[in-house]
Amino acid sequence: MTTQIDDYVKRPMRYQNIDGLEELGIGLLWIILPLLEFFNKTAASGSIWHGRTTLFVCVAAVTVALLYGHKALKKRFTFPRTGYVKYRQTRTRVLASLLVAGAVAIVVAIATVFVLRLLEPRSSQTVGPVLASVAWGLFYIFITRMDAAWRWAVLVLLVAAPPALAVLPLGRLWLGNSPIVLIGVIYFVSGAITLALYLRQNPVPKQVVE
Amino acid sequence: MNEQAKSISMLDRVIHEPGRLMIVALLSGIEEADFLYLLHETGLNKGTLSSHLARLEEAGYVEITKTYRGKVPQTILKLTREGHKAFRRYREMLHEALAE
Repeated sequence: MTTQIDDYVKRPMRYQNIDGLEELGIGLLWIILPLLEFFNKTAASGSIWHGRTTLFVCVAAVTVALLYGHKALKKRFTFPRTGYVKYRQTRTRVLASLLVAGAVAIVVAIATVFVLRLLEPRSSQTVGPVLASVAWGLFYIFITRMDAAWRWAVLVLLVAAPPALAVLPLGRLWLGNSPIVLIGVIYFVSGAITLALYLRQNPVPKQVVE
Repeated sequence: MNEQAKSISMLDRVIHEPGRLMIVALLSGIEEADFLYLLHETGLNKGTLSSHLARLEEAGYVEITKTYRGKVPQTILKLTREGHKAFRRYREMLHEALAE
């Protein structure tokens, strides 16, 4: 019985990605940001796309657009169908999350550098994508809770495809970004499937008399 | 009366009813939610959910706010401080009652 109660207590957290919008957001972020960096690197020196300031402004604009877009889509699609939920966000919790995320990022970065130095230069091309795939695979498990069988196929793809792509001869410039873009595409497709299923299974109800 | 039986007898009757237990458990992990969300998650019908919410409000465990989302009326539900305390106490008692 206590397990059932625990399940109900945790249920609102699973509701966060019921519509796939979290996955879509992450997917879009990892498609757009590497593309912006790619344009930035390849643009002619006199072009507006060249230069760190433009890149910084674009990254900030994309992040803000995704945050507000996410909120707007929740309001438009999710709340009228399956209800509105506001999560607790105390200052300490936000600060703790940021600190944990920062610490994890630093540890992963140090581990990557350490492993890259240990391995042969040729194999070092795949170490970054492997670490990124594992990290984003774990995050995928966390946000989706693997609530459907097809998600296991997505997870396998997420962990295996980016390192496989890293060893393909795509040219030196694009090489660093392509596995990240692939992670973004996989997240995006997974989010689109979740959203389509959600919309099909949850039509807007007639006005609820409360 | 042994400790387990004592714990069972001390369980909060307002929360112990399965429908209300679902509602309180769902609201305990969040800031607030609306009527539609609880309807969706609990699987209760509108009338039953309304009566459970009224009982919880009467006990001071749930705060009910009537508002509008655009032109659509919306009922926002929030577990009060007293509700959180009562739910914590209920879980402790239940744990003791079920302990071997």
